[in-house]
Amino acid sequence: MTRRPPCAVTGMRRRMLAVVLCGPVLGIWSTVAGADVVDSAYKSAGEAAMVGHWSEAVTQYERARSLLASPSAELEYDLGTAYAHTNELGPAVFHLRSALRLAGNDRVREGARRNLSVATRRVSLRAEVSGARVSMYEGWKSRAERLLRSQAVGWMSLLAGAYLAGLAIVRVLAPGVLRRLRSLLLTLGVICACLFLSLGVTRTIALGADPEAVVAGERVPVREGAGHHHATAFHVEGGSVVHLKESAPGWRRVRLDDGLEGWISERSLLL
Amino acid sequence: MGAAAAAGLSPREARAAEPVLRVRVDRNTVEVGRPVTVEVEVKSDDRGRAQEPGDPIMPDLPGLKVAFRSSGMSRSMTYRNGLMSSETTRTFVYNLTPLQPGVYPLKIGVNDGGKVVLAKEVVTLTAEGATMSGAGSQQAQAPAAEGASPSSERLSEEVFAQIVTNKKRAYVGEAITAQWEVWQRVTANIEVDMLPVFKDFYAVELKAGEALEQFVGGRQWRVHPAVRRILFPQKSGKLRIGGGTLTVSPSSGFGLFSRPRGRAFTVRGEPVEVEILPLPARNQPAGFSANNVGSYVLSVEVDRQDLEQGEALTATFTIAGDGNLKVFDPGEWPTPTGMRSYPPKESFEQRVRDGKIYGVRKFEVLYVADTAGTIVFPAKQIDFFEPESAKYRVSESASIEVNVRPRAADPSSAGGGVVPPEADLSRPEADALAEQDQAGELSPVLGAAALERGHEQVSWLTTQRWKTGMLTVPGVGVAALSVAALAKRMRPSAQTIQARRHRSQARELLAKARAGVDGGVEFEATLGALVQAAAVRKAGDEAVGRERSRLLDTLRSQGCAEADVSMVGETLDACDAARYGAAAREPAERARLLRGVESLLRSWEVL
Repeated sequence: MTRRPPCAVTGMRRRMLAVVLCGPVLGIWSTVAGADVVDSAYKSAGEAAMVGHWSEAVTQYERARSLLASPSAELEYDLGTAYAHTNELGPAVFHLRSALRLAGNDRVREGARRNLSVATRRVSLRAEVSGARVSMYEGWKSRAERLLRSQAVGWMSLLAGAYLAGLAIVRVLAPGVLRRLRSLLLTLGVICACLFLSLGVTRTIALGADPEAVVAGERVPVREGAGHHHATAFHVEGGSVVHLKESAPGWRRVRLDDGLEGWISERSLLL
Repeated sequence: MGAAAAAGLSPREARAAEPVLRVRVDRNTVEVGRPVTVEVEVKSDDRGRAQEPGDPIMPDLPGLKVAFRSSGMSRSMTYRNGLMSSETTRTFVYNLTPLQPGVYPLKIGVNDGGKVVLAKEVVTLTAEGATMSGAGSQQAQAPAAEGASPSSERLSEEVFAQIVTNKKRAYVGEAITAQWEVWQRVTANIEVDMLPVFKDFYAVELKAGEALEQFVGGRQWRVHPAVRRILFPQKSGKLRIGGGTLTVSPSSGFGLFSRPRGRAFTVRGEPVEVEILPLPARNQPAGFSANNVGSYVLSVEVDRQDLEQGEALTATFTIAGDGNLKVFDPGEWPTPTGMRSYPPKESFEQRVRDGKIYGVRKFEVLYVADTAGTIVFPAKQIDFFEPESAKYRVSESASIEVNVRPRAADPSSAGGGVVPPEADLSRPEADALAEQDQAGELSPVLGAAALERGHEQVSWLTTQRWKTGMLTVPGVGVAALSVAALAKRMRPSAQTIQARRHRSQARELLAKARAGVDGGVEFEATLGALVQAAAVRKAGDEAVGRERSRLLDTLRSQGCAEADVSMVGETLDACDAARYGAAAREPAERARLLRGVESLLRSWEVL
């Protein structure tokens, strides 16, 4: 049996010890540093916003957003508001919608709803001035789709299904219970079956609906085909919400709320 | 008096009334080359008429071509005061095609027994436009059409198609009018299989126009202008226009009465080549766009020339002319110093006249005055190539001066300051936004020192999980119902359960009997009960409660072996005897008796 030289063993142990000791320290240090950078950018953005330097605020908010690992409703709200002040309505609508979707605290929700309303009114106004089309998807169908996609509806359909599954298991394992509470359990079963089927089908349809995107820029040309050589069918104002139907390299076929369709360069869309 | 009466009552030769002519035209004014439909109605009384009036005599006017189309007849009979009368109406339809402009009086008559009777009203036809040259040349739709006269080879066919262009040589981007004509001299159903191919051309569709009657090569032809386009060649060289394909099914008769005549055949139009010249390199302006071919004029006007700082004005640049204006590249619009401009709002109108395409394209540019003072809109130039003169031309708009007054209310504008970026809107937008923001300003940013973390709620119920759950529910239900059905199917029947119970009882008795072999305690009683129960079960319900001899008979009647029946009888007798002390047994004998019973019960499958 051969033994390693004592010095080699000592060197390896030292290295392992160094790794074991320094690893967590470095990890903690790097996490703290990342947080500082994000907070620093966020703070700078807030200070710039307070004195009305909205372009600088946008730059800093965007920096904080790029450094942040997970999306933040607060940051999306602030960024969307800053964009609304600089009259870049496309990004403003996009980030304020994100803030609402992420559902932060009440203050964020209330502010995002209000600022989104102002931004969409400005989009409509700008479209009227420029003669471009505007699309907001604010009809009952869009609202119904949003409702069906919500977590509450998802849980409701799942719970109804769970009740039905439980009922089936009880029927097998303890049929006596079913016999005793027959009318009550069956009434609940019918209600749950209706909920399960109706919510299941409609939510599946809503989840499979075309994804949405927000148009960036001003008076964006919508073309008849995927490419700049195709004729411009019409223009759509930045901040409009469109549904994505089809994609080609660098281009997306979009549908407006009034049913018009055309191709937009991907660079003009916020997905 | 008497003579007069005699003269009045004397018999006279019966004489028919003169026929009455009525002439109708579908229009009184027409372009040269276009046909007019004329309907001539001849109404005649049949009383005393030896023969009907002849066909109408159409006017023989120079420059007016007459072609007969169809005729019809109707007759009405009247019975009045005991007299029968009848009236005949004949209708003749003609196509009149003026070949030169002018006014044509249509004096139409009819020969009635050697006398010409004219229509009471003379209808006039007015033809407008240029004089037609040659029988096969086309009307004003395609002026100076080249290749319009078909070759004699083509004229020998019943149906053919040809492409007619107004030019055989043109520059890149120059307008060429092309028409695809289908000529037919027989009645046939014609279907278009393939339209002509206009590859390498930017095409503008035109209204095709109506069919015409042409008299060419000694035959009457009907010419259908099927496709008509203005073409703008996109590259130089010899470009080809495909001829198109037709399927012709000859027929006879019209409308509902048409019947196929002969086999259908395919007609292919001959392609046409057009020589396209490149735009001359000499004197070509720098950065010239190849789309700027035609003849254009640029003009500019502003909606006001006196405004306040921060206010907006609209400058409308108008380009008008003939050519492919839709793709015309006007270049950048000028932005005078001290003003901001926005992307132009564009409008475009196009119309076609005499085979030429004309258009007006307007660019409305919104300017916001940032600084006060006199601002000059510089003249804007557009370059284009004029094919008629084969030269590059320039059209220039006038320069315009605008007076911008300083904004009195805004102290920052006193020194000619720039409008703050937050007011980055035009006047109407700004006004409307001001009203809107009074109703609700933007909510402020949160302005926190640090961004809160860790409370972003990522929902557990993702789409994938929800879908899995929704699919699991029916799966669980089906599985539970399957298990229930399986359990029901696999459950033992009442007979099996009873047999199992009997077997269990028999085993218990047998074990008790075994235990009593050595001591003899309750051996016979147990064994007797075991054999009795087995025999009754074997004999069936009939044997229940019967005396032993009947029981044995029943066993026999059910086909049990005589040895088995005897053994049952002997065993039961032996047990009875032992129970009443008639015969005490040794353990060996009890063991033998037990073995015999065990053997019997096994053969009966009681154990």
